[in-house]
Amino acid sequence: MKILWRLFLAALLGTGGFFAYQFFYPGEENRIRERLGDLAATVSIEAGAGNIRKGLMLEQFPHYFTQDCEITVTLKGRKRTMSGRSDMAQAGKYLLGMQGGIDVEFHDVAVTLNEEKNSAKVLLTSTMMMTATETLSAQEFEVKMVKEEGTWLVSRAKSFESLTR
Amino acid sequence: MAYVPPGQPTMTDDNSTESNGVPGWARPLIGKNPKMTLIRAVLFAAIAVGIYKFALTPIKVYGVSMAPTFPQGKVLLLNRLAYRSQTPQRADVVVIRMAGDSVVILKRVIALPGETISIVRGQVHIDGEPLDEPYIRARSENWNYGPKEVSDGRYFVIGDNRTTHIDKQEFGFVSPRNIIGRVIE
Repeated sequence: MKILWRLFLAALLGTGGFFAYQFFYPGEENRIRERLGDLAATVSIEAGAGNIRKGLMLEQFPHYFTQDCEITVTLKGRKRTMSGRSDMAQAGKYLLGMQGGIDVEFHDVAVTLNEEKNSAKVLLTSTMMMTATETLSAQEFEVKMVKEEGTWLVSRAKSFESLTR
Repeated sequence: MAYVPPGQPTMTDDNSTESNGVPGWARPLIGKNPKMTLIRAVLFAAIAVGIYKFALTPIKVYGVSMAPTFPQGKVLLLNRLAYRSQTPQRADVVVIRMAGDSVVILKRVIALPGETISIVRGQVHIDGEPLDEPYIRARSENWNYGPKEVSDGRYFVIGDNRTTHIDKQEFGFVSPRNIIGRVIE
């Protein structure tokens, strides 16, 4: 019985230690995941958000992207490309103009770092829930992230159509 | 004086039942034999996780593309083992992975590899013959597509809700390696 309890406690301590280490010394992969989580939280706007929150979103959103970023979204056969931070600022305004709140999340984030650990390819599924109507849209993305002055930024993003026509 | 076989509960002076050092109040939670209870709990958790990850996974429907068969909010069971021994069949409702399997697509298999699919004013045709689809309640006449051949090793999938505009529906070809399993209807 004692052995079982000791094994159980050892497993508990090991798991706790692992998560504590990850928390205090996050690797680049975890920094990328955190950065993407922050991006999702920034664009998620609750219904009835105040002007300060909206202003913050508009201010912060373009700074998740590089100056020369290129984002290509293909939706039901239609392709749209946005280039540079000015286009991203416009995209932010478009998101703010949507009726009700929106909730953006990134799922199944798979990060592959290059050898120098200054660039990474990220595969993920992005979901956007229109909270007023509970309408959910999902897109697969391949994202290239680069590290500039210690901060991970989105350099390229291209959406995939999961079903091809 | 009474003989109490080893391992059986004994009545203590304060009238509480004890076995293997387990106080009476803890018995409903950890049983007479805590070692066996721990083993059972670990085994039960492992079996539950195994079933959830590899056999039957609950999924919640978002969106109206499979309405009215599966309305928004309905919880379904995904059978991950459905295509271990057989291939997807026409009219199967399949679950398709995206970047992973946290967010998935729910569609119905309409055309099989090697067949030619076309949609004319809402009516699906397979190899030129109209397809009987009892699960469709209403059709929009703006649905026109194809004809296109389903290449080998792929399937053509579509939602049951054909009342919306064709441009608002996601449908098309899918590789079987992206099909996670079948919905239990």
